[in-house]
Amino acid sequence: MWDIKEVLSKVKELPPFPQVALRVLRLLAQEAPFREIAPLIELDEGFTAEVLRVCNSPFFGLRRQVSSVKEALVYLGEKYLLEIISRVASRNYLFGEHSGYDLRRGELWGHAVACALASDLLEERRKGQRDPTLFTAALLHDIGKVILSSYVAQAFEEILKRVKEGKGFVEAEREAIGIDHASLGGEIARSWNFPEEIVDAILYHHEPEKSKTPYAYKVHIANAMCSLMGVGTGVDELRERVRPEAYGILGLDRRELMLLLSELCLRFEKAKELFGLE
Amino acid sequence: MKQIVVGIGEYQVSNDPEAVLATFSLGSCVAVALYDPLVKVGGLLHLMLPESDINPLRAKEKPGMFADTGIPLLLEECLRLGAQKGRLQVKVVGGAEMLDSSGFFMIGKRNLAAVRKILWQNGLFIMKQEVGGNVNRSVFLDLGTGKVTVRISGEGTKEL
Repeated sequence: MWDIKEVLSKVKELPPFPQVALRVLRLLAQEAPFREIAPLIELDEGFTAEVLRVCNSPFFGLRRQVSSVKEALVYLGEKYLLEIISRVASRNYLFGEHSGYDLRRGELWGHAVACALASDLLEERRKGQRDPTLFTAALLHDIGKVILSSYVAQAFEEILKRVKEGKGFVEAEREAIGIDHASLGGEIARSWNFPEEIVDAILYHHEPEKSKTPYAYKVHIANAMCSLMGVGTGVDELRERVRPEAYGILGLDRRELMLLLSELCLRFEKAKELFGLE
Repeated sequence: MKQIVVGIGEYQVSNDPEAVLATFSLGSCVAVALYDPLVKVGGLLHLMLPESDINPLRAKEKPGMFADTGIPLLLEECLRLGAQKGRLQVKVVGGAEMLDSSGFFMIGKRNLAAVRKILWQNGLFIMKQEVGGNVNRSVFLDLGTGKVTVRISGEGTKEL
């Protein structure tokens, strides 16, 4: 067992989540008009540059150069704006190697993006459109691994022993280290002032029955889809429990699940092209 | 040594004896490795789902995603490079599951069943396999020697 205070103190050492991104994500969730969003983005050089780069990329095939954020948003729409903002804001936290989980450089980031895309697929089939709050929660669901990875590496034998006794990996983390990556992720999201739904979904993505919102079950299944697909599966994900009631709650049958997996594979590939994941 | 990486739903074939075909993090996906030791031609497929009728449209776009469309293509490409069916060594890796008491997903098992069926229909027989369970695997096929190495996340590597 480790000193939990020491583990939690690492939360404060993480650079804060960009405030501009948080405000843009909030406005997107409220379906605010672009004229309110554009000036916010212009406050940040990084976001501005990326919005313009994606808008002018061959993917959109525009015939002329777009040079203002306001105009770019018209072409990009809510869908791509959400992806760009959350991606630019989150990438640096997640992109590195996380060897405690046996994740090579870029693998946890790929897992995050694939999970966000999977959550979109789940939401679109039910409501015909995506939910920005769910997208962000899915993208950041494993943020706790960024800190916990080095502890998992040190406690690995102990964790594996418990897994072999039949425990899920997250439970084994909790017993061997004193805290698990989901709880730690919830702490990080809280320290970044994320809305309670996102904190809750991150906190309970392996134990969705403890959640009070519908988000945790969606992230739970989106995460399972990516783990089975082999995107950022690492050492732990196949050793996690899938909640049997989750499929009924999301109204999924096996055939549809396999259909969604095949769509996810292609969407993930397109995202890699568009966003240069590698 | 050149590493040729095979992505999800893709396959690669080569007759370059200096090359290693590699595919990472299989999850419930299955890797099928074919190798003809005489001409040193090998191929590696990283399939994700059992049957193409799950999504016929996407199967056209990405046939390697499914066992029934991917395996015949992998075989065809190996034969095109001079491999002979009777000499092919067939090795199968992956098809793991999550801890799922409902048995709802069981995609690994379904993938493996489909792989066995399609291989059999094509007159191919599995020589060695490292499949199932709750572990994540990566595969490397050395085209100089035909050696297949499996890396199991958290457990180390072994030759198949």
